[in-house]
Amino acid sequence: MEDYVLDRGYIPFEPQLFEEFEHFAIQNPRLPREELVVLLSGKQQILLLRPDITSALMKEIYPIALKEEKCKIFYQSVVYRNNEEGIKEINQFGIENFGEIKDSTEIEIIEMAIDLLSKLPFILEIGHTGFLEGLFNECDLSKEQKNLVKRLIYLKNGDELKIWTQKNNLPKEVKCVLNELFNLQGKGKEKIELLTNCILNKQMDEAVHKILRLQEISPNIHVDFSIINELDYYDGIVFKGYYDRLNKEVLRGGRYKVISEDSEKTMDAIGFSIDTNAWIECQEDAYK
Amino acid sequence: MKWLIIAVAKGRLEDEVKKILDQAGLGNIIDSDSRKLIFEDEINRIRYLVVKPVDVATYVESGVADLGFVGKDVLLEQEKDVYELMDLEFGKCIFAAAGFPNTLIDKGEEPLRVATKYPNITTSYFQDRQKIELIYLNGSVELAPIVGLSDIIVDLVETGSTLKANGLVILEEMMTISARVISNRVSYRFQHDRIQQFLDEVKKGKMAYAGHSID
Repeated sequence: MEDYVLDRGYIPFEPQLFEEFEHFAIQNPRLPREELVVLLSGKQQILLLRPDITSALMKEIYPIALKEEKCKIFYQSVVYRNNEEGIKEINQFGIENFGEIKDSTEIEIIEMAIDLLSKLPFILEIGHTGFLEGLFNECDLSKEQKNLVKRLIYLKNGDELKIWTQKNNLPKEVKCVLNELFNLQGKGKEKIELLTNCILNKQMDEAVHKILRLQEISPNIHVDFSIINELDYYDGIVFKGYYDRLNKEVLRGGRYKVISEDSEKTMDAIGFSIDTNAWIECQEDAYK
Repeated sequence: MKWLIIAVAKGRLEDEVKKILDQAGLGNIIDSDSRKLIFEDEINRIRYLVVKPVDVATYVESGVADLGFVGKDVLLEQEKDVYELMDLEFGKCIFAAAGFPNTLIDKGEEPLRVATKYPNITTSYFQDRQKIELIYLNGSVELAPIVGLSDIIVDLVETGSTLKANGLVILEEMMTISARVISNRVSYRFQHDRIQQFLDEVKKGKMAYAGHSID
């Protein structure tokens, strides 16, 4: 993997080990707190053992990328999460591309993800945050309501989502889209027609047409507009890669904005990470 | 065609699931009187694993089973990373805080002593409301307030007869619980059409079982 990305001009990067608890929790409200590995520093500061690499990159790479205007990095690192057995170390490999993100950059990243997955049968599921954000712009929802709706969508819990839409005073068109949301996946003429009927504004229109264009890259790409990430910083295309022999995604990524410490400037970025242990295990199985 | 593997919670839920599958035209494959744990439907290529209710979501999350039939109480307590694809709307009961009549739940600074089999659900319910002292019990939680071990209990209430027999009442209804169909996240992608077809059949079975018209 390292040779593959070095050949494409990506440089190595080592992200910091600790994150500030408060900052991370505000940025990622839907990530369960009990999954985070919390530490107390000598100065009584509440810290987290690196819960995610992209959040660390957003802080550390921003000044460099701003200076260089463009920056392509890769990392081979570890993230830490609590689970039932204790603290879990997850080895991750990833690439991130900062600066001006053109359509061609998005295509390059998708193609790299496909290359790294392609030795085994796989699915690369792809969606766009603009679709749901555009839908939310059609109704007046509080932050808590949006988080609840996102949680139900993440769980593919159509029945509870239906009950929620019936109970809340939403525009008829928004209710219709939410009721069809889990059908907005797959391929074919009928799906495109259904998707087109669900477009309520320019933001949703751009999201749908971008994804339909990217779908043409490979038959292994599956469109899903109900795709939701547990981390909230994505802004644009989002994707997840799956092998059928694993019980969860092996690759995840998407487009996001890096925000400067003073919150005054932003920079576009796109990247993905791979669960290295799971990926290696699958490649070894394939050669047996 | 690949086998579709489905974990079914043993016991009360199992009987209802069997009736729905039968109504859905998927036959009566699971023999509850047998000591076997795996039942195969060769025609529809479905393999049923009959497991303890608390283990269903584990089988599904790990990918050993593609789908599972399980109570919402188990899902809320375990918070496994699985999809909740259908509410079967049977096996309904409520999660409730119960105790002796007029027991005060909001005690301010003084911690409320709560006995329960469901520590996660209880903790998250009272999180921003009342400081609690959690007393984890494996069963017969109704005993706890009677012997002074706790102020209240949090438990599933179906008919309320056990509460009544022990002089307890529902102090607060927390949420309604019913049976659900869950799916492994990867199976949902790789077997999407197959799962969708199964869900359509189960939906018909559910409607027929509930006595509604199918069409």
